[in-house]
Amino acid sequence: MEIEELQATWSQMSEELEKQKKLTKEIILKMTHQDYKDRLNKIAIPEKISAVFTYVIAAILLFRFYELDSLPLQICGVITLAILIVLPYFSLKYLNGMQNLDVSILNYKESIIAYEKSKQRYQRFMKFTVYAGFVLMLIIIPVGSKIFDGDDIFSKSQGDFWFWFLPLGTILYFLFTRKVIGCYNSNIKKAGVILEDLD
Amino acid sequence: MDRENEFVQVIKQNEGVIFKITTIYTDNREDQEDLYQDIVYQLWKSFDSFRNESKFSTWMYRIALNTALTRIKKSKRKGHSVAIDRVVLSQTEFYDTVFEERVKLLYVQIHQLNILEKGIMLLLLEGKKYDEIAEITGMTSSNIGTRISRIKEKLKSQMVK
Repeated sequence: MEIEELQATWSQMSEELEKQKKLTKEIILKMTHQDYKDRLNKIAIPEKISAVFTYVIAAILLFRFYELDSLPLQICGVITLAILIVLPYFSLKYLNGMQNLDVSILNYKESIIAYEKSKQRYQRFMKFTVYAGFVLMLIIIPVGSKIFDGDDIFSKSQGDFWFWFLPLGTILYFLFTRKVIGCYNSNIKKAGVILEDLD
Repeated sequence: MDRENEFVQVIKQNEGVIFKITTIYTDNREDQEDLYQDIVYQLWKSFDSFRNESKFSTWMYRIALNTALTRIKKSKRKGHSVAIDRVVLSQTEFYDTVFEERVKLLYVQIHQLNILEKGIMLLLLEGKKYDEIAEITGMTSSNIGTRISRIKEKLKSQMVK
């Protein structure tokens, strides 16, 4: 369609919409209530649930940290704790940043810039979590086996376990996360194009 | 008239505009309903801050567009929402088939524009002058002119494809 045709169709549609007004006072007022908005705004629920779950694991690890009685185990424990505590915090922080822009102050261009920058930051962070997840997958094994089974896998031979687990785990992990990383990269790139266009 | 009734009147007058914005920025019914409600909520929250420094429509478009832009799609991440009057969001069912096809084609073309172009295109279709589009978007009138020319080119090339 040429722009003139689009405008004609748009005008005709607008006229039809004018004839079909259906909102009542009751519906409008319902939409203005804070509790209604809260019910609607549940986008971060999966992140909140994972954060609680992660913090429970971090708390268990923290309370039983004294059981990690060798330096390699303690190093793994500290890195595990850092990942478990820091990642959910930043995930929720960036997500909130994207959702809570002040729409009444900014103009459209400023909103786009603020939103796309937040989106880029969030996507970069999510990409980082994939790599951090890989590190976590490796180091949680010695920490978990010591805390839950009392086994220090650094002090006794594990046979072929690491010989197979490390390369196989790495290949499978990056095979499964390749698409996710591709998606994050694509979103970062798209946001970059928009930001560049507005520069 | 008290503030609440004044707001209700404003929304009633502009429900078609909000409907059109939600159609442009979403691609399924659930997201559209959520966005509609969110826009009304954001307008209400900011209603007291409207100081007649700009035209009411300028203020309303700015808030509605900003809300549409910053709302994260949640088609696959469903939250609980109370459905508003279904009829509000199914306006096209009364149109004749030919017109309905034209409306669908119109939306298909707009959906292919990027986020900035969508906003400018919407305002252009709403009959806004370059100055008002510039005020809502925060760009200069000449920049708006340039971007509208680019949008026209883009739409033409979409037609060729």
